Amino acid sequence: MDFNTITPQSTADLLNVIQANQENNFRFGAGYTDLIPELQIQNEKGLIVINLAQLKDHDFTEIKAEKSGIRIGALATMTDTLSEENLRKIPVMIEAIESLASVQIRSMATVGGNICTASPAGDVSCALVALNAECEILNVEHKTRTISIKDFFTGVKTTVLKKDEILRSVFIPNLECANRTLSGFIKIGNRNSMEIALASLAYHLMLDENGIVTNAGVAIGSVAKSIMFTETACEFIMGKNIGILSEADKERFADLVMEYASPISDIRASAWYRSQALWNMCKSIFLE
Amino acid sequence: MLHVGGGAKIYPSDGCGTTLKMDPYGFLTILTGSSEIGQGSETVLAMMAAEELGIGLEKIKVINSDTNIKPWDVGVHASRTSFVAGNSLLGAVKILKQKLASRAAELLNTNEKFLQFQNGEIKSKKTGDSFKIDKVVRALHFKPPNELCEVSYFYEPSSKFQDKEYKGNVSGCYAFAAQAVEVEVDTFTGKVDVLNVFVGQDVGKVLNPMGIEGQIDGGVVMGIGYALSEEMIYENGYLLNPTFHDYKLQTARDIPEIHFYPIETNEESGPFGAKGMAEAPLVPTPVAIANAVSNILGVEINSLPITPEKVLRAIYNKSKNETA
Amino acid sequence: MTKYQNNKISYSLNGRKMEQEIPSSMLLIDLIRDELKLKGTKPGCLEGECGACTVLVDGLAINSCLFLAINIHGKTITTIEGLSGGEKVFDDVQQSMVNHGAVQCGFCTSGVVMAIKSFQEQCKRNNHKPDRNEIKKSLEGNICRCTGYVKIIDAVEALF
Repeated sequence: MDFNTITPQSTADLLNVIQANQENNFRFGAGYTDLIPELQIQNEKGLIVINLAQLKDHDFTEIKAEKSGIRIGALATMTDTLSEENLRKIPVMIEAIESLASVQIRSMATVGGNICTASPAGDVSCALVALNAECEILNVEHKTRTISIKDFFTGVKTTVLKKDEILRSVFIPNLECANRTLSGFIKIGNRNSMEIALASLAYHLMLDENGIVTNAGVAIGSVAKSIMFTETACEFIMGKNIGILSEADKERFADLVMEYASPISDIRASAWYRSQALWNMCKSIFLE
Repeated sequence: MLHVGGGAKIYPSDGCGTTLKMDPYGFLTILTGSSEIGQGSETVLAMMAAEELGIGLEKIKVINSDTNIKPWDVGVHASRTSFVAGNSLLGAVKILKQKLASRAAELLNTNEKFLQFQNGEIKSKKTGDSFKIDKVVRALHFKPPNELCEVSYFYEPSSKFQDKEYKGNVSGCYAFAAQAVEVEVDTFTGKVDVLNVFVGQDVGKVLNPMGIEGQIDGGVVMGIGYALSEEMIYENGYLLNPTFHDYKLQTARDIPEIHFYPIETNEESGPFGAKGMAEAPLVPTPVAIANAVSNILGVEINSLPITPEKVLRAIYNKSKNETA
Repeated sequence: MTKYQNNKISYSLNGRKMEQEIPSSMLLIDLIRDELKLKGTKPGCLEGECGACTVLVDGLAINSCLFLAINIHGKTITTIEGLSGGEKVFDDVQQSMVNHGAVQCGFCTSGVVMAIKSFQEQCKRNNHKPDRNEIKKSLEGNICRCTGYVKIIDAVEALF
């Protein structure tokens, strides 16, 4: 595994480096928890790694509470994110981070890395999709654009990012006026830690004082080419009182979620299992 | 369950050799055939020698891995180390003691049969007179008979090869073990969690209580992996999951509370009455877990590992059969 | 032929100031074992699954097999060799492991000790006494085939 690195210290440096390497084969390295195992197996000759680990720019590294939500810098690590007081109020986010690999990995892995790796099994990405997060993208001309994370992924390990762009931050919009929430992350695996999800379900439902759903975000992972936001299931559950949901409603909800799933069979689990377990999990969230 | 407790004959010799050296300062070196791979043989062999010779553990060194110098052994398996290497050590200690006692008897002007080894001394029970053990070693070496305090012994257990029907007395001794488990099955995902494991096992005499608990814990958790998550998956002769990423060992968050109840017996052929015990704890575990799962579900799962997928499939098939 | 550049880094290793020139793609575990000759850090799976290579970077436990060595520039590294020294034969984590018989073959042990050290410091900072489940969670990134984890968990519990 040999490669050259360029280590920009400032955003201006970074954008110059990206600009200067448009004709070259480069990868971004931040937490390296996915990149190094990948390069160990498949070393790309002449690869340049733009090393983001020493970038000193708060917009990239900090987690900030803003008026209308929380902004997480792409280079914030999972451990940084876990200790953020404002995020502790969002169970789906906390549970997703805690389910990710190990203490060691969480101290290195970045939120931006989880998103940009674009794995269909990305735990934190799945939670961010359920939360309707927005990706803030910076290009070499210092211009930014914002895109919903729901539209960020284009397939297995592919995203809308162009070669002259980089993800700067992800924004979780305010979860205001929620009286209470039904929020969580379920990761299905063969053991309790160090798993890649066989299937995952991220849900964040906001409820009014009567238990009526006022806003819904539900996303599924590891069952399609990318993480899926289950729009019609969310629409279906809106306005319903989750306290008195009928069995038929729960099943309808689960069926609607499953319309977004097209799982594959591999050595970890069969397509049948992924579908069946996920369908069961969709029903189970209303047991709380 | 019945398991071997003192090796299993798979090679023309299932024995172990030991060479002991005591230097003029009373330090004992044990050169044993038995390898140390974490099972605790260094400790347990040193404990046995310390007990027999009446010297402190700090005076004993165990050398066990260099095949240029160590005597014969067939390896760490078949619950054989404490039993086979222990018996070999005790055989060597017996010769060493005879050698020391015969010289000490001269020095103390008494009969060997009145001598005892304790607190680093060889002492006459009759007169109360004693000599420090290192002084006896020096007396052996620096004056006639001018001998080193070095001895060797080889122990071969009584075991025999299996016959053509795979029957026969294959081990030096045998042990019974039983386990009871409490499991929880998530009927949404099919995932099995083991909550409690109760281990009752005939271990002969417990030689090292902390060591034996460690062996039981490790065995049980390996057994849980065997039951629930560990599997080498092959396709056309290729192993599809050759890394820890896909070959799933149990993690610290998968383990139950383990309750160990040693059943102490006195194994006459074992060192200090002990038996080999470290393999037995992982054998009943998958069976007990499978039985517990079928007890909950009313369906048997007859292949390992009992993955969430197999459990969910069983639940699904059962409810389909019941509605049909 | 592609030329691979060297990078100058300065860092603190087990309390000592260090300066070095290393290749861009060198991994921290290779720097520690092959360049610095500190063999207490163990290479296990080399893919972040087993935790045997755990060391502390600015007090946080990380897998040195997944960490680019150039990124320790300006940081503080602690390996197992840095835990004890001088009059201290053992760090209290190591002593507790010994007391509880939490070491069998020993291959995972340095990584386990470093993970516990990081967890212990974090709990101390927050004045927090962890329960058994939190202890298990803190050990999830360290695979041990021998002990079944029980005595390791006991050893951690005894620290608080």
